[in-house]
Amino acid sequence: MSDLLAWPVVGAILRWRHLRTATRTVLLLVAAALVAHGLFGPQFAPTNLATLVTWIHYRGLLIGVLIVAGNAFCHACPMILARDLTRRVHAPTLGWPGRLHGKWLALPLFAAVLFAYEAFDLWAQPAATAWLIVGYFAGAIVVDTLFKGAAFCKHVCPVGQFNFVASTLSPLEIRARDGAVCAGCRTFDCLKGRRAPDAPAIVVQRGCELHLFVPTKTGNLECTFCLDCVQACPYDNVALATRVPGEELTDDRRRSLIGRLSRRPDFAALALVFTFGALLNAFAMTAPLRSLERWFAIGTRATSEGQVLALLFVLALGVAPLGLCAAAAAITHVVGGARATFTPVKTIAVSYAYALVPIGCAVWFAHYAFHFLTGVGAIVPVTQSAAIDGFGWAVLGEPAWGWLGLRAGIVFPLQVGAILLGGFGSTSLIHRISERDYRGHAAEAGAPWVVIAVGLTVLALWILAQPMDMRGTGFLS
Amino acid sequence: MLLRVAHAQRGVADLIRKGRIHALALIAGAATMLGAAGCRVAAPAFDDVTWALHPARPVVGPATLRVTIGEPHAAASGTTVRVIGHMAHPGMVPVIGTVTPRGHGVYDAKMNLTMPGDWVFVVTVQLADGRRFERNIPVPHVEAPKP
Repeated sequence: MSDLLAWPVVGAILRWRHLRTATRTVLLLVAAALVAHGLFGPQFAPTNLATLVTWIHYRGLLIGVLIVAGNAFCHACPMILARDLTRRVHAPTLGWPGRLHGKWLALPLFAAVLFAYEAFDLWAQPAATAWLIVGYFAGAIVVDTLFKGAAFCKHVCPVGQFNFVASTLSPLEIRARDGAVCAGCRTFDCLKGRRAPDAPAIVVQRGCELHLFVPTKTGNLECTFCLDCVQACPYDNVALATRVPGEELTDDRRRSLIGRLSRRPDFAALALVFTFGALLNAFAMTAPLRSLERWFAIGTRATSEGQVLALLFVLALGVAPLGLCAAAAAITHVVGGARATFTPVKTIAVSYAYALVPIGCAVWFAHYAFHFLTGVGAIVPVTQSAAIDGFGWAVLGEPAWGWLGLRAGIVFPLQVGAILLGGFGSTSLIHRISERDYRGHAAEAGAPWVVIAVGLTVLALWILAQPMDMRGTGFLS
Repeated sequence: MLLRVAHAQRGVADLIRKGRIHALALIAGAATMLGAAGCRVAAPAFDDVTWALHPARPVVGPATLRVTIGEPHAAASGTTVRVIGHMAHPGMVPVIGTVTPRGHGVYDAKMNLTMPGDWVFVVTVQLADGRRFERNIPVPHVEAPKP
């Protein structure tokens, strides 16, 4: 294990007390600029910073940083800065309602954002994108001034849920440096916060707002990388450690706050929506979607694209994953040996569902990396264009649309490599789960799940090979 | 009452001191928004232009946009016309048209549409006196060529 907090320069930066405020301030300013240009700039997506930066740069960097490092965008989330300020005016007093614990609220919200993106062509709507950003801020402020802790991050934020699932494949995690030191701790500052020695009622450094207890914390689920625990621990016993990406998805030990993954159908459902949502989101940009929509529209006599998309979403994010997992779990139940026979089908399905996260993450990466790598340079002409809008003359020069990024043909092998790696990762996790739970019958138990993983991999490669079909000019015509 | 007011004032001062970094950040953000909104210069209207696309329902491949600028700009010398074809999705590689002047305010822009989907042609006209006009021309439902 290598601890980044112990590295010479990187460690000093990560430990800097004002790092979060600094990064959050930068992103807050970026968000303010996007909202301003989205609302008051040209309502034409390719030349508006709100649509370009939100849907191309932010998403591309988000998934890239998640895979390369970890949940850095939750760490630097500007919404936390805004709600921290409002909490100084109105401190929350309520606890999150018990009936809404878990991911059962966040799950439909996550699916709803995916649906809204397609149904309203958000990528083509600068003002709508700006209002979406404003809505996120408003949601964070309202929820977190009512409810204590990081209620918005944990139970509401759709981007946060995406980050939590994808960060299970990150190579870094927060963990205790030495378990013996934690065993001797009696103040639990990482959880409760560090208090002033002369005034114990005053918290001088807050602990984990998501209520993760470092000694029993496993993996990155529910961790926003805020580093509050690093600042709070009086023994300097918290590490930002390297690890094997994805390994936590096969770790079924009881973990802080979450318990055993195999007993959390809400997390498994989130993993499935994450995975199948990736395929649907990528498929929606291809030409065959139109044919499918027409076919659905004729078959169901739907009168609007929204109705057709709603049906497509129910099938792709509900019926398909549930049906596939139920069928695979039933087969495992029968062929997985004595232990599988005594394990409920639902528990089997929940245990294996996490193994599909790598292929889902690979599809998100292949999709977003394509847009980012082929369009990263668009920030230059769009900023030049914004300057012309603002000043009336080309203060930054004429928009230079010549080079925007890599050619699609160069990015394609990277996409294919990512998908194959994701498929390999999912298959490996299935094998490990099978070995963990059904030793002696691992091959039979895991076989139906391997079929699903391979099927999703082939489907992802097929989607990549389809001609793209960009929609979204309805607002102009 | 006075005590409550003083307490409230102290509370506000304390709030400002504690939250000054956050407050500065918010103020800077708000200033950026207001500045961007306030500085924006409205583009002049550009009514006197007509256009025709050939083929009228283009497929992926070559297409020509004929732009005709009406009087009084038609005969003006030093006018430049630029046509850029964008996909509706941001960040996609645009197609830059090769513009040929045909005289009397008529310009032909040869475009090579690279993928199916919804396109928008952005026509920018820059007059010799520095004024510039812009118009977005939707070109929806461009389809792949039939085999």
